[in-house]
Amino acid sequence: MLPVALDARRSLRPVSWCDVDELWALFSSNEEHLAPWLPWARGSQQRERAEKFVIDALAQARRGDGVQLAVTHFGRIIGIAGYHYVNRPQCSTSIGYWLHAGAQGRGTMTLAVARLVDHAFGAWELNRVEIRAALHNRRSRAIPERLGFVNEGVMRAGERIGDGFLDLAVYSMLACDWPHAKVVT
Amino acid sequence: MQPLALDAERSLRPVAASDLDELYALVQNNREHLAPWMPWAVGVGDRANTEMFLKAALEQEARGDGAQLAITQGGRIVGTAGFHYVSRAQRSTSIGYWLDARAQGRGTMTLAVARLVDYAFDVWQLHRVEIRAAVDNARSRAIPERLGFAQEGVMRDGERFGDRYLDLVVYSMLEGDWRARRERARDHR
Repeated sequence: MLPVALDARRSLRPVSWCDVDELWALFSSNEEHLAPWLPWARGSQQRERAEKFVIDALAQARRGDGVQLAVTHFGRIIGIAGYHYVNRPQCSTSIGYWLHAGAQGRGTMTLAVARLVDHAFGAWELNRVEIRAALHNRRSRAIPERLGFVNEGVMRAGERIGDGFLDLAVYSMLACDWPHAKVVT
Repeated sequence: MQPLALDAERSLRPVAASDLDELYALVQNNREHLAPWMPWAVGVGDRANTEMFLKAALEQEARGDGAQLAITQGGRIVGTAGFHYVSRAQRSTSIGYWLDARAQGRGTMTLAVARLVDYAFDVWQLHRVEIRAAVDNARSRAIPERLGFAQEGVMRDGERFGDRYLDLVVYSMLEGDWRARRERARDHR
């Protein structure tokens, strides 16, 4: 996937090996912000985590199973948006994302995810894009809701986190609905 | 996985490479019965598909990612039930199944799936078991419904079927609810 400009200041580009230090710093500064929702967010091995994330992302892109993109603002990484997999037999994918606490509230992630959905239905010609968000993560749920995704139901205990589980709201967009989807930004 | 008795004449046992002929004949006989719901049943002209299913099942069990079981009645295979995967990280699994048209209506699959759910929670210590069934496949949906699974929603276009897609109803059972259900069943006996 090529870099994509979101607007004059913001863009999306695949993560690369050169991003490890910057991601490490970002992981570290957003630990408290992300820990309630993302099982990997808390821990002492943040540098190793950033390395592993980039290694896994590069391997995923090589096998054609999706990509992880850095969301940037004036060239600085402010978050990640990416595909969990690309299922060619089922023509489906799933999107995940997180944003630096200080970069929230400007519609950046909505813009970024809309471009990822465009790519899934356009370049990859997929049929279904899924987004799952913790039931109580209002900011995360707002993204598919603004983009006109359909709330299909609640996956109980869908994500293991620490000693417990989170229920996940499951949203989907189908290729036939996307061009007409009412995007509210 | 060890064989599991369902009752005096019916049991569950992992599939083996030696099941090829019997399973292939059964799939052939059930092509019309399965084709509306199972994408793999549409083009089962050759034995290679059944052979691939058995090979994949053995590899799956070897890497600890679940198992595929033959449901037998009087020693003859009448269907299969199995786990699509076992996620230790999420402590979850998903179950799928099909039954010979002639063996329907005797509660066989409900019994078999209940044993698999027992196994998932008791032996593998999982937390969540999912079952997905096509919205219009009433017989398939009846299994999780009889077993008290919760209906979570409908996955639109969840299964590709050649040029079209089927919507899938998603059902789940959680560990705690299954144990409570078994205790209630015991109290009633």
